[in-house]
Amino acid sequence: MKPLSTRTLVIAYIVYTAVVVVLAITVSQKFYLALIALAFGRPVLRELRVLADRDEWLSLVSYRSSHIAFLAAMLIAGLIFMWTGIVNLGEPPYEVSLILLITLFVKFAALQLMGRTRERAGRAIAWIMGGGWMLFVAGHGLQWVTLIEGAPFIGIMVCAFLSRRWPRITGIVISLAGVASIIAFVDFPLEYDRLIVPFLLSFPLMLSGALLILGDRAEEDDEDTVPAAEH
Amino acid sequence: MGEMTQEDLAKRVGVARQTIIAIEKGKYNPSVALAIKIARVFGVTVEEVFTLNGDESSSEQGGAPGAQS
Repeated sequence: MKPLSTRTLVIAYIVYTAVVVVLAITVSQKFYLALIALAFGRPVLRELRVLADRDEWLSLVSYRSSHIAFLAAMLIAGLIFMWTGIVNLGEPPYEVSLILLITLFVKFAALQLMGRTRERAGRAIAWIMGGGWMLFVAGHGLQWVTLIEGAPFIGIMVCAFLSRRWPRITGIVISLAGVASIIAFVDFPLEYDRLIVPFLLSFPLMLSGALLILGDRAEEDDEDTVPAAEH
Repeated sequence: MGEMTQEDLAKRVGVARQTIIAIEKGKYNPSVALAIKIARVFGVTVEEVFTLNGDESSSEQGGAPGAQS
């Protein structure tokens, strides 16, 4: 795909803003939410390789500054989470928990996807999902009820373990578990105060399952092989 | 070669002037592809333009000595 020029992009921004403002005035003020795309549109287009307006050094500087911003945001969210939830033994603000957990999961998943084969990434995500939710359930006390409530997550961890031998079958099972969690727990349209289950259970499970199904054994062979240096 | 500006070099290898400045100052190690492009502009090998810091076999230390502002 041919990268967009800066001029084309500026024109697209102006047209987009005008359309959003007109819709917000004439139809519903909810259309103003679409203006958030102006802030994140360019970075997303760059990640999708549609926009190529930065060379390698400028990209590196941008990535480093974004990483510093990520650390600062996580530090603040983490401090609020710890202060309200652990030091004061209360309930951390929902929005803070949402931002903290989803961002950390996206960081983890992106790291796996970029640094590992599809199959290994899918397995790692399944382990984290099963283990993380099991810890959350166990946090309510170690009782028989906890074991029953945690059974699906133990099942996810068993699938993660078995995926070494049967990646596609376990991938299908994990994907179906993700779909089942949507049917059982998620109401549409999605409300912002009920995003934890779809974003931290259903979608990650479906992603994990898809990666295991698509995973390529041949791809894994390449990972441990370093081409011999020629002298 | 000595009359080439950072801007000229940046244009010829397809990067921003800030990138050439960062390479010259040793703040950034370019990719292999960019290093080869820079070397080709000067008609020399990559090792004649870039050297490893502490490499005793080389007489020069890092950077892109061919680029001058």
